[in-house]
Amino acid sequence: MNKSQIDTLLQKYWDAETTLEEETILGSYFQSHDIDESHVAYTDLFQYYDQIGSQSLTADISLSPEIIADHEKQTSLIVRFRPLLKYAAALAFLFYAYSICMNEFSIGEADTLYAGKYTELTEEDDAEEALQITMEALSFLTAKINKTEKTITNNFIPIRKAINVIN
Amino acid sequence: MKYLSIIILFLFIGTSSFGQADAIESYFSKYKDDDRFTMVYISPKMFQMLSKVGASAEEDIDQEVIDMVSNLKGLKILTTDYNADEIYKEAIAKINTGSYEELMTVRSDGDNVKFLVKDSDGGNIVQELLLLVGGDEFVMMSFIGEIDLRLIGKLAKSIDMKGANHLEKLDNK
Repeated sequence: MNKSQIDTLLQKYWDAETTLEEETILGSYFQSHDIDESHVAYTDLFQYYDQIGSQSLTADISLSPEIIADHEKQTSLIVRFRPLLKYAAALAFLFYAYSICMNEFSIGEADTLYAGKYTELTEEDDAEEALQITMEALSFLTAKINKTEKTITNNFIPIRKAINVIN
Repeated sequence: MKYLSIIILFLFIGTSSFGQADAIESYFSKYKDDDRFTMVYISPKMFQMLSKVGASAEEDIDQEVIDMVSNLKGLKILTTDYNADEIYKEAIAKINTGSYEELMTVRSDGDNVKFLVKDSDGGNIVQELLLLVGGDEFVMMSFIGEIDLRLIGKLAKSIDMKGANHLEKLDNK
């Protein structure tokens, strides 16, 4: 390559616009013994890059036990238990599904009437007694409604009297 | 982070789904074996048989009552006159009455009465009617089914209670 071409490549190099191929050309030029005087100043730089690029470390790197212990202490709980999280997520989903199923399909309720101190009766007896109890429960409910209605009505009497006075 | 979010989400939904039904159930279970309480539970299967019994009963039963009973799917009753006021307050605290719609609450002559309904969708049909009474006696009644509130009102006028052989503490007032 002639001087002007090298100058052009160098300019591109300083502008960080060179391709890998062009950088290889520059590297080969500065490795050769045919370097123009105006380019001698850059010889050390390109030769340094070439030397560094070929260096490799063969020695073992071992961290001191203190550094390793420090690192483990700093490792967060989440990072340490991360591999277990997917199993915990699966368990949480199963728990959710179980609770939904238990609510939807609740089992274990007795089919026969059970009334506190009473012993269990046969199905036929249960049905008649259950009907009687239901009717009494409804009576109790309606009695309470009637009493409540009366209480509310009675409370309106003073209000009506007040309205009559105003009118 | 993704797995952790999933775990928290499902645990939250799972625990919250136990919710209100279990609060009443656990309240009943708490006093089920307590001799100071009278407990009645009638299951959905029993109510299926009741409508047949009602139709063939010797004594006359109003059609409204039969209609009401045939729409019921469950009945739970818990009563006591032991420490009634305290038990009433405990029931109000333990059962999340916030998940029910309050129909009526009246307090007079030392009697506290609370009517609560659930799943009414704004209409007259409710899925649960809960009655809580405190005062001289504590009564908790939970009616479950397709309960027409208008029918309850009609029953209040027409039902005739025949004694209190089975539920000793009924109020005849």
